[in-house]
Amino acid sequence: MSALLEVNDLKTYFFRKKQPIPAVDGVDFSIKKGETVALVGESGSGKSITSLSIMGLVEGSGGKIMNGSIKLEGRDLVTYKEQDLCKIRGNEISMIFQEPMTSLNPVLTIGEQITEVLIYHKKLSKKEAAKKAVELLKLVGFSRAGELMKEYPHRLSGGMRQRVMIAIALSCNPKLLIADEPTTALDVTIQAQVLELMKDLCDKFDTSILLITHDLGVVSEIADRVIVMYCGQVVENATVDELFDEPLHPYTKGLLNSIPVIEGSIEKLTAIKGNVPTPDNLPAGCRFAPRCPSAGDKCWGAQPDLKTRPDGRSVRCFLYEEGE
Amino acid sequence: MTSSAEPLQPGEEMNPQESLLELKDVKKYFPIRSGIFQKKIGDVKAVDGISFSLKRGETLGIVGESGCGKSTAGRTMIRLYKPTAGQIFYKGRDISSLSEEALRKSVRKNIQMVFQDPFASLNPRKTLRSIIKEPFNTHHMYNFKERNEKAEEFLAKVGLHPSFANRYPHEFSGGQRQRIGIARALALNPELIIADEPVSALDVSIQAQVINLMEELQEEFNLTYLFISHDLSVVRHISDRVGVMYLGKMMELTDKHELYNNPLHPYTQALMSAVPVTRKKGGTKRERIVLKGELPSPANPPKGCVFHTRCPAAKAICAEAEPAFKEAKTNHFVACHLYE
Repeated sequence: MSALLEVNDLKTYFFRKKQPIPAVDGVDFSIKKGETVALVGESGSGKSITSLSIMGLVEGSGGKIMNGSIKLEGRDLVTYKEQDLCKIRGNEISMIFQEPMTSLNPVLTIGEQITEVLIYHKKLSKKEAAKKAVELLKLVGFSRAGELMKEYPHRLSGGMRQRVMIAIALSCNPKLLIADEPTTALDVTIQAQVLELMKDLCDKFDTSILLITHDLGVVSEIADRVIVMYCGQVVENATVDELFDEPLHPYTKGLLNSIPVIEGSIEKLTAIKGNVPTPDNLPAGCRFAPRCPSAGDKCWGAQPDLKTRPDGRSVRCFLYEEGE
Repeated sequence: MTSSAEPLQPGEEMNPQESLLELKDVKKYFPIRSGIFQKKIGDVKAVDGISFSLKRGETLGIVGESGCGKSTAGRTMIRLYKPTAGQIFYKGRDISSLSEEALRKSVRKNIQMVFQDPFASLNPRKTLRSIIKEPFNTHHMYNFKERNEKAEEFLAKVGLHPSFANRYPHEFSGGQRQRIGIARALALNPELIIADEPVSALDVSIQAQVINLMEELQEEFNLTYLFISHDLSVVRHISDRVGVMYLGKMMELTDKHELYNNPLHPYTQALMSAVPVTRKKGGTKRERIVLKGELPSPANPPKGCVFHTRCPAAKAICAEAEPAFKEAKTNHFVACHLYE
């Protein structure tokens, strides 16, 4: 299968007092058609900035894409002008945001917010758009979709709002759906509903998903491949089974060991010591070295590269470079 | 820990010597007011009759979805809210109607709280030293010099460098701030700490650090924890016993191994199955029970069993009569008609 989205050496910097702050520092990955890729990392690892870069939304928040390309079916989005990006956003790539409470407009009805997208991108008439919107709401599991069209967001609960967001995001049959922590603000039972829904819909429409999350449980439920980010860089890229069976990078191992499990029990959690360094104060060598249990002399001096191993997995760590 | 040995009796038979804190049919309603005279038009039944007891040295976890009343229960226990009905016994003494002054003199010192949001629960204009010292001022403990020394001592206890004492909260990350919150709670040498979602706002690697810290401190100071969380895996890790709440009521309460291996209540079963689990080598996918619909409003809870509107096993009786919270097996309490 050919790649739908290819991100090459993406660098997105922010500036404070003319000093560059590397939020995303050389990220490479690709997403195939119909594939669900999870981007995992702690707060401050640059996963949300990566997704905003793909959507072309970083400039508004003071960031700048310094280098690299973001290719959607061969077209480089980095070179696109704002008005061209507007035709892609919401149409070919759409996004679900983390906060269902704040990502809907409180003064517009649900109906207005869904039909807006359809009228703008698909050039439907108001009537056609309303009909399509009701269908979409039924698709995401609302039984009284007709009445819901006239409701305002404050009447809905978190889970219902997130389903409305999904309906808006899917309204133009996007090729790529970016979901930034779609279930983090939701309770587990509602989270289960939303995850089931996303899985079903993506099977139905063959949509690719870029799922941004810090919850490894969610990753193992719906992702095909996992990209682990740390301090603006990809440290490991593997399929879900490979990653959970045999994590390579010490950071990935640390992450997997630090979550309490619901089945079986462990005496003591193995925490990763220390904190994530801030992007304006990064260590000189490997960025994980100060927190790494197996850091050697080499790790403090030089930065390892993201190397692809013969079995197709890639990892950024000196521990796996010796054999070459 | 002494918890799982002897059977727990929610109700009259409890020997007050054994339990540190005991709740008897505690209710907390918040009035809904409306109109020009703010006439009361109804109640939000945040906590609607819960009974349980907490033994010295144990960790009791309370889980439930948002809006189930778990935080209100925690706050009512420490008398941040005055209960609408019911009694709260602290070491055998009813504290449910004590005055603020009496509370401060005899109870507050021994029950402390750790809050959910480490960014909102510390005063941004105070140094760590004055944040941790403040409880000493309130309770007139130690002289000036000792207070400063104690503040630094407790910073060290939670794994922060004593030299941080002169810094302000904004200089610290979420995990470090939560440690500061724990140091403040520890300062008065309490017996019971009520932790309301203490790790929910933290990243997983930091979450593990804070959980480990809480466990170490429990051993060192012989603390009793009431651990409120929506995260079933975290609760399983830290607790000895776990209670499941739904819409202001306790649905199930038992030893954690019993609860997680053999959940009786249909709500507990659904809640467990909804938790996404990381795949294990050769592990099979579990059957998932997806609950239909949403949590009903606590202002207008369903008649009969509050869960019957979403329950996959609901019978005719569930819509009419409220099930009693009874011991279905030894030490295993459940409120469900299926087990009567």
